[in-house]
Amino acid sequence: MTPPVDILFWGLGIVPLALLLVTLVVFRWQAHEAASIGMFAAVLIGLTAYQTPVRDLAVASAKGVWDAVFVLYVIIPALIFYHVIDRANGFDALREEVKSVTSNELFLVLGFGWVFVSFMQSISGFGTPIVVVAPILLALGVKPVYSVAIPLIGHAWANTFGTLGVAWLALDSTVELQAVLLTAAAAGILLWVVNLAGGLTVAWIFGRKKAVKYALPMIAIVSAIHGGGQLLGIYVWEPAFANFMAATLGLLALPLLAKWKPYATTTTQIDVRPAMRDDIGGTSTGSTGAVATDGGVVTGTGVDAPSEDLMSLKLALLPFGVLAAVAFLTAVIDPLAAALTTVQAGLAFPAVETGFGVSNAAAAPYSPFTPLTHPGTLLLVSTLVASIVYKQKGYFEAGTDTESDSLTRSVLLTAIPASVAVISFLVMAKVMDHSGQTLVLAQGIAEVATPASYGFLSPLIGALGAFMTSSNTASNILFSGLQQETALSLGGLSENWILGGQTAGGAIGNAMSPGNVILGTSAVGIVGQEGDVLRKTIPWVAVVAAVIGVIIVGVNAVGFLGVA
Amino acid sequence: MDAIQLETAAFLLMALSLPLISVGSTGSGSLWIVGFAVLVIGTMIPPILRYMDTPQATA
Repeated sequence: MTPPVDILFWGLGIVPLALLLVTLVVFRWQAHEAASIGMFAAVLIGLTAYQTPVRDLAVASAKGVWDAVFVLYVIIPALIFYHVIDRANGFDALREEVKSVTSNELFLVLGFGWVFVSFMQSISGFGTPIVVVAPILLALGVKPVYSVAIPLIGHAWANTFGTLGVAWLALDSTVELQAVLLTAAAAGILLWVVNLAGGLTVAWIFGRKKAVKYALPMIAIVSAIHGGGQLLGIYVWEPAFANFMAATLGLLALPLLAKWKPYATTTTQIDVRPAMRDDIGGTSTGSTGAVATDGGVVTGTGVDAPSEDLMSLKLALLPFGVLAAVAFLTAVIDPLAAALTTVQAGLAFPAVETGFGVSNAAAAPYSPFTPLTHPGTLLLVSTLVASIVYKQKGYFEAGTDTESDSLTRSVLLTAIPASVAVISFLVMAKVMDHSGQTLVLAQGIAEVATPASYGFLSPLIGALGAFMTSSNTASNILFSGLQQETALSLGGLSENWILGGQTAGGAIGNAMSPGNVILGTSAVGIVGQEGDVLRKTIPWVAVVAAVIGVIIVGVNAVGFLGVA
Repeated sequence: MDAIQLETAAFLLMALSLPLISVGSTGSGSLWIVGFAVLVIGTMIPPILRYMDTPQATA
């Protein structure tokens, strides 16, 4: 039983989301202010129109706070990770050293903002790729808002089969698929489009049409490796490892591409570079120089002293390498993973039911937290290794009380507003879920659809789920059943493509989920500018969702990969 | 109090609500009401701060 799916209830259900977006994007409120408004709207609408008892709202809210633990345990370790590397001048060293491989800024922005971030997503989720890559792009001279927007867009395609296929496995286990391989293949094809759109958009953000034209060969090659490799991996290997294989091959292709003449040195062909800071390498509308004009070290405030004392590339990459290695090992060595997951924590919650019969079973514990396999612990281990090595080598002066206090305060100044925002946002999402508002929104979209239009709408439902939960996995759990049932009841639709659209929509929806945006803004120190980031990513999500929607309608019409 | 101190208070209130609601709602008492009230108060702080003239903290 659900609340009435009519225009009134649908209109009320959309109010919290609309308020959140308007306050964030139009009024440019800070995320923790906007999220509170959205949360109160969800609670009030749940309490009144959706007949949700106060106790149920309290339980839903507490579950939202608990869900936030999973995100906060990435934000805070990621900030420590960032500050430790930054204080050892690791980001400056990384930038200077990669310049010795190639000084081509567009190549580097694509390399980190599209290729490396995808590799990180292939092994580690919960927004870790964003918090790792955004500061690197900042160090390369990318403006802070773009430093967050670029990896959000660049990593989106890897959200279904990445993190060792967790979102795909969620879809596969939530619904009974008629043809597992064909559904995976449909998702793989749609995600290839998302990947291509990601590469092209990152280039366009860097330098508009000229940059796209200039980077086209690189984008075509990497996208063939990413999209084609993932599709091949789905067919010949195992969907759970398909993205890891493709993303790793893409990463390995970078050094070879860097030796290719067009990308080996800086270029003068791109004269407009809106994403780059003016204080680094000329102006954003001028010539395309090297990353730094004088070979000096660029900081947040400009260009500093020469770089003789910077660490080597190997040392600069150490924390990222340790992170990748630890994440991979803890995921693929089953006995190790099993041992680490024995440490769990969770709280109990009772069964709840609204006046309209929307029910949630009792949970004891609800969504147990396994800290030892969580990316937060992996980040802390990487940070610990890096800080020990950097200290031994004399690059990191931590240990003095003043330095430690300063580091702690820097972390807190960013972490607290970000944490408040994440909690408020996830409480809003959980209240909407438990009161039935999310269900009414999705069912409303499904009910007005025709067989011809539903293919277009299915990625939007997936994206809505990811926006609400900051997770493609959660979106698939929430909406796969609804999508499958709707496809069957409407008739003439391919379940493979509709579910492919669900998870591809969920993947791109990650690029605009406030949880991920907050992770990025906190990593580069621009907490409060989430609306500016969303202004860049929401149009991308809308366009790409529309493109894959049109593709689904088209392939469904011709019967490619089967029609129910 | 500066903004970051008030935001820290909001964060702590939100965190405190979690065990109160869990224990209260699974038991027979009304502790969950206290927990929910604490959460609501914590969540109200950020939008209120927007309209208050509080000093900003620096690193």
